[in-house]
This record gives sequence, C-alpha cells and structure tokens, in this order.
Amino acid sequence: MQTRMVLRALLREPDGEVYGLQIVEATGLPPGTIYPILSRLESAGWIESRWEEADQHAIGRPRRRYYRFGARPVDGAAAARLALAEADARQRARQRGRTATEGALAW
Amino acid sequence: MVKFLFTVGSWLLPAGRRARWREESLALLLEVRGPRRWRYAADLLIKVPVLAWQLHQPATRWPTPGAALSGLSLLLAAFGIVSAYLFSSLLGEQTAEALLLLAPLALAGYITRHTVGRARRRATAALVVVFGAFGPLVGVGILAAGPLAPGWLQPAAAIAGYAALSGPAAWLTITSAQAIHHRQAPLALHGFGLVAGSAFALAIAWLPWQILSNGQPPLPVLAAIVLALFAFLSAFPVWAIWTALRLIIQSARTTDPG
Repeated sequence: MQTRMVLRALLREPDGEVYGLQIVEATGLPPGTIYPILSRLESAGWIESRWEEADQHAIGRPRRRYYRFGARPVDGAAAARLALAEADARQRARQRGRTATEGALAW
Repeated sequence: MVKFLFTVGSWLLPAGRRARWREESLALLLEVRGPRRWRYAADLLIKVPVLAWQLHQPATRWPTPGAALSGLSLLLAAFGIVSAYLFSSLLGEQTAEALLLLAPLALAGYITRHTVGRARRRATAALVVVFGAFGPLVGVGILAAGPLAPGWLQPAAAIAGYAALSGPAAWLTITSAQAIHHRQAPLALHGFGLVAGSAFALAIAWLPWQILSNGQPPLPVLAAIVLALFAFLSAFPVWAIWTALRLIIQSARTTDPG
C-alpha cells in the first residue's frame, strides 16, 4: 500500500525528478517510511537517483537527492503503471468478492 | 546533537550508504520547521533498522517462475518452428505442418502474462487470452468439428478455424505495431515481431482459400506465400529468442519491489 502511494507520487511527474520531501508531502507518509521504499525501488532498477548539482552556499541550503524513473534495465514508469494496475485489479476483485459475500449473507 | 544522533544511527547501515543517508536525512530536516522537524528526525532514527535490514539483504538474482516459464516457452516455440522447417523431411509433411501451426501455442504463457494487467477491461483481456494465446487450440477444435457441421456452414467453419489459428500471429502483429508506434525500445525487436506476426498471418490466410477452391493458388499468390513463410521463419526465431532472453535476464536483475 505504501509502495503504491510512493509510485503514484512519482508517476505524477513520470519524466521529472522529485526529492524526498516532495514525496513525503505528496503521500503524507513520514520520511522514515519513504526512504526504505525508495531504496527498494532503486535496487530493483525501477528508479534512479542523483545528487543535486548546485553550490550549497549559493543556494543557501544542503543539496537534495533527486529521484526519477529509470529506463534501464527496467522501464520504471511502465513497470510502476503495470504494478499499480495489477494491484488495483486485485483490490477491485477483493471488493467485488466482499460485496457478493455481504449480498449473499443479507439474503 | 541531531547530527551526532544521525552519525550513530548511520552505523547500522552498510558503510557505502552511511554518508548518503545522513546527508539526505539532514537536508530533509533542514527544509521543515517546528515540531515537524523533531517528528521527522525521530521517525528517521526509529526506522533506520528497516533500511539497514533491507540494504543488508542480498539482491535476488533468479528469474521469477512466471517470467522463466514464459521465456522458456518462447524458446520452445522458436525451437518447434525451426525444427518444423529444418526436419520436415524427417518428421513428415503433416507432422511438420501441425508443428508449424501449433508451435505458436507456446506463446500462450507470454501472451497471457503480457495481457493480464494491461487490458483495461476484463472481457477484453479474456478475449485476447482465448484467441491470442490459445487461438491454435480453438482453431484446431473448430476445424475438427467442421466436417460435422451442415454443408453450408463448413466454409464458415474453415475460415473461423484458420482465423483462430492465426490468433497468436495477429496478437504479435498488433502489439509490435503498437510498440513501434509508441517508440518503445528496442525498436528492432518489435520490428522482428511485426514481420513475424504479419508474415505468419499472411501465410496462413491462403489455407481456407485452398480448401474452399480446392486448387493451387495462382503463381503470384504462391510467390507471396513462400516469401511470407521465409520472412516468418527468419524473423520469428529472432523475436522469440530475443524476447525470451530479455524476459529472463530482466526478471533476474529485478526483484519485485512491491
């Protein structure tokens, strides 16, 4: 569920880059939850990350680490869309099953 | 104080990730203010063992069973089709023809895997799986039942049977054309898929015509069929082996992060 939230946050800008705090704010999840998920996605090859290339004194804050969907070895955005579609389909099937069971019990 | 706590917390992580985690976490904390900063700091420190446990796990290097089976069945399809061509004299004409028509059945796993989860509607996915993946079986069933049908229905049964036999080829043509249209890499792979699929569909299209007209096709049609068969026999093994290796290698490199 939390992985799906992170993937959805990343898919808001599938060709862009986001940093940790943006994902925290987009998902409402705390940073301690976000970083293990990002690390897992990165080690699976779905996303890649890089340090911001900026002079920290000039911008007046520490550099950020940016995350984006990778293209190799896995098309991360496509893999994320597929995983989310499958998860949504499973959830819909469970809900339908639950509704059917409740309907049967009501009778 | 916070820096010290993060230095201590980072000791749990592998040496190569300590500095990155410290810097990234402290940068995030500096961008928020008030109680939120303390809440986030506590959260990052409390959950560092989760990240550490994850980073200490060895990466999975084995393909998932589904991907491995789909990949192996694609290799089997390539092997079946090449064998039908190379060893046709050994196998006999009828066996070689049956092998050529039924070998695409080995694509069933790959087509099902490719379709389920991508099709927007369940009915569409079911239709694609039945006619795309299991088309050869459906086709053989219709052709076998054809002679039992009334005489006026037999031509339609022959056409429907051969149309179903070309299901995997039609699927391959459509999905490859879509991939090329969306410029999905590698384009060459989808090019081979497009050639193989359309050539097989073309080569199979004359079979009901031959049965219905009970004769040989004209020379230009015959030349087109031979060319189509040659294109299919050249392109399909390349597409199948390339796709299979890609499937197995990518799956082995990738652990499902879900």
